Amino acid sequence: MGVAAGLDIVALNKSFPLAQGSVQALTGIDLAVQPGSFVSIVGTSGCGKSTLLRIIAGLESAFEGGVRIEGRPVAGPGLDRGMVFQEHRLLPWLTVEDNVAFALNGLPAAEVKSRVAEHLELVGLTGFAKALPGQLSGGMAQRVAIARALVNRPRILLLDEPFGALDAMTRIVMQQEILRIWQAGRTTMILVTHDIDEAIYLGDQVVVMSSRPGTVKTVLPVNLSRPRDRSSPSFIDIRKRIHREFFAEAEHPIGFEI
Amino acid sequence: MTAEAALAAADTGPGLPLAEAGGAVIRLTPSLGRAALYVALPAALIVLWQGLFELGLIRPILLPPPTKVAAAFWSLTVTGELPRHIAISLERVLAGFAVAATAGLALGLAIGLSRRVDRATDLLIQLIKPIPPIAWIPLAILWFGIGEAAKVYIIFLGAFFPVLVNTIDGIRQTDHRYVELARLLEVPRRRFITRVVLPGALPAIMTGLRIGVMVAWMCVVASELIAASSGIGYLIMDARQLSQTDVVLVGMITIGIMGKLLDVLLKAIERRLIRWKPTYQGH
Amino acid sequence: MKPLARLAAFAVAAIFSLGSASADEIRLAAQPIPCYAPIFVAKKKGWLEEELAKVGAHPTIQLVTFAAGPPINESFAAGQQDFGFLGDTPAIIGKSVGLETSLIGKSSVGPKSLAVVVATNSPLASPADLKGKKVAVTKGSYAHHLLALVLQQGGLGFSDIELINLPNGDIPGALIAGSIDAGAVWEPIITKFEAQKAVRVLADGTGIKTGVLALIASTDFVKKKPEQTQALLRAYARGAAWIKSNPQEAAELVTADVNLQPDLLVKVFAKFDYSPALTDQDVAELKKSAAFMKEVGIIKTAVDIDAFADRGVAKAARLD
Repeated sequence: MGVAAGLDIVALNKSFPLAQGSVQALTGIDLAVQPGSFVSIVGTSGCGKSTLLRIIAGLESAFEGGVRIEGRPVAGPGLDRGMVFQEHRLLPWLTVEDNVAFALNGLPAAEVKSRVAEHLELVGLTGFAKALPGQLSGGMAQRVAIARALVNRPRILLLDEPFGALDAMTRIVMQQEILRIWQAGRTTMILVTHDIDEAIYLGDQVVVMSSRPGTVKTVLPVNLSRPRDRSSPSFIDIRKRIHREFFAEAEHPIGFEI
Repeated sequence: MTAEAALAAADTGPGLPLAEAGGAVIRLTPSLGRAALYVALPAALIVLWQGLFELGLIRPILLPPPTKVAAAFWSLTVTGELPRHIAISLERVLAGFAVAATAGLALGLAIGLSRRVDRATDLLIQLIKPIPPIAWIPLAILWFGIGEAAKVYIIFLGAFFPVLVNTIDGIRQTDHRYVELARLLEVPRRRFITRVVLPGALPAIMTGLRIGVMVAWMCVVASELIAASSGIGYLIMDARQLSQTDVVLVGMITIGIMGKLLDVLLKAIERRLIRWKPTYQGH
Repeated sequence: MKPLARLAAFAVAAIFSLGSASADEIRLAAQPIPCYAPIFVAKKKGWLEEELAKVGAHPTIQLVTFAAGPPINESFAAGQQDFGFLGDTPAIIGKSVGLETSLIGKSSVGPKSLAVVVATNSPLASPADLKGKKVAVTKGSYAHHLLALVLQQGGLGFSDIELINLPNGDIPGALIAGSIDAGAVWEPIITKFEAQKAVRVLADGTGIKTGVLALIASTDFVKKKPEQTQALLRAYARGAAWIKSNPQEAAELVTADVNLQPDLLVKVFAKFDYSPALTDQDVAELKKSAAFMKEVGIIKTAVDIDAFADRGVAKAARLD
């Protein structure tokens, strides 16, 4: 893995032009991410969390404010940042190993071979090197996407709702997988999700975003040891607190007995 | 045993029930049923055609009966005349198509990959595209004489535009999500073209090639209006001048059959090249 | 009947009754060349209407021009024509494939009106020189027969040359461009391009083919309206006579119809005998043509010229 990098975002504003006028996607975002940490960003649709991730990735320019990685401002995409999308975006006509190798350019063939093998093993898909994406399940395909995102040894890995397209059970397996991968290499990870449990399970901190305009509501630290128990009181407590940010509390449930 | 019980007892295996004979059910197996459906329509048409002739409802000079056409088919085949004409037309079509495919792919790539080239060539292409190959015949004769070059040129014109247009479309349709991915991974341009754009465009390109071959074959008649002394188009025109409608029909049907065979061949090639793509076949 | 069924019935009936003449119509098909000049004269002079009126008929006369004989055959097959002016070859072909037509006369005859021509500066001097050369002709035209006879004169057959099928009008251009060495053509091509000094005659029909051109009529029409048929023949004969006696005036009258300027047209007129009644010599020539066509496979079924020809019409019209 690449040496993990830290990320500093100061007073980030982003608006998109419309046919008439513009829409403000992000307002006054401040965020500090420690190198090697795992940050979850949670919010509803339209809160700008994907836009935030894309700005960090360098896919969106034209923003105001500072976005710095180890002190250097972000200016376009780069191999220091890897990204995993909600859809796996594997090229259907390339095998699994060719898809991972696709990310490696300008390296000698032997190096490419060893890195691909290393990362396929990391995601547990060594036996499927020659398979075509069409032959893989959703979870397996996403694992290949993760391997591809890591093969350039990025300093930050960005994950944009990476398990949103998978079924609930696969999702939980993949959460454990990404945890394992992170613990193996300690790359800085920034995960965007709408799944509150996922955010708490994975992150050192949970950034709660509100929408319209997109801004950081609060940042909750999660000081639980891993692996986390989703039914432990502390877990449930944090979940309650985040819930409250989104939903009005149901006070004392009133029950009737007849 | 009741009839129903007998039927139920004899009910084994898949397939549509076709008839009942003494309690045993004769079934049309799925593959036989499929084959029957495939040829049913043309077969029915031929029967109708012969029937109308037998009833005296069609004058043979307007439309000779299938029996006469079949006889003409036979005599032209055994004398080797028909195979010879087919071979010559095929040669011309393949030559014209080869040039059209090469030029269409090359230009299509250039235009698809570069906005500049697209802008520079668009007007000229849009102006020339609607001109039917037949309209080019006088110029073709002036430029190339009445030999093979003029005929191949007409065929080339027919096949070129489908290949060009579909190649451009295929490239334009490149999934923008892959484009974004390539940006993120800093994939060099050449690799981007060979690993992302071209494979993604291949289905559309194959469609363009298949249409191109079809049009090339359809242009063979037009091209052989240029002083041909052989070929299927020539056979048709010659028969027309001698009022041999049965031979005209032989020529037309041959064109249809050959077209079908070419398409089958190309479909097979397409399947081999694009093994990764699941397609909708209807249900 | 439900509207859809009615529409279908109408469509079927329309298709099968393609082109039956309405009661007061005569439909003529001709090629716009000097070989058929009398019909254009008769039309312009109003003699068609005159002769028909004499037998008490007042139909509208529709004259449609075609580029060649085979399309006229197709039009007859579709039942769209009553009279046709075309070469003997396409007329015989039509008969052999079952068209119900009768040869009621000839449009013209003229051995000098069809010829094998070469470019003016061509080294070819006699029929024997055609060996191994590229020679163009419209296959199935009467020039095709002429070519066979000219080759025979030089001791050659079709296998000794490279035969190229070209429309009459395209042959001069191909000669000038050098894509072919010789071509068998008919007027007005010969005179037009001789005048431009582009081609010269290698051999024409003199002594070998008189070049009878046909005047056919739908057998049905002849049977049902014999007086009108005779009237038409008489009008044609008047046109023919007038061309003979007043060639200059006639040339100026129909120059646009036959696509040749008057001064050249007068020269071409001199090559033709336009009187429509079939003579014994004409019939003998036609028999030779029919035999040739059967021999080289232009027709598959032999045609009996005596049965095809109906000399009775000309007789009844007192033209023979």
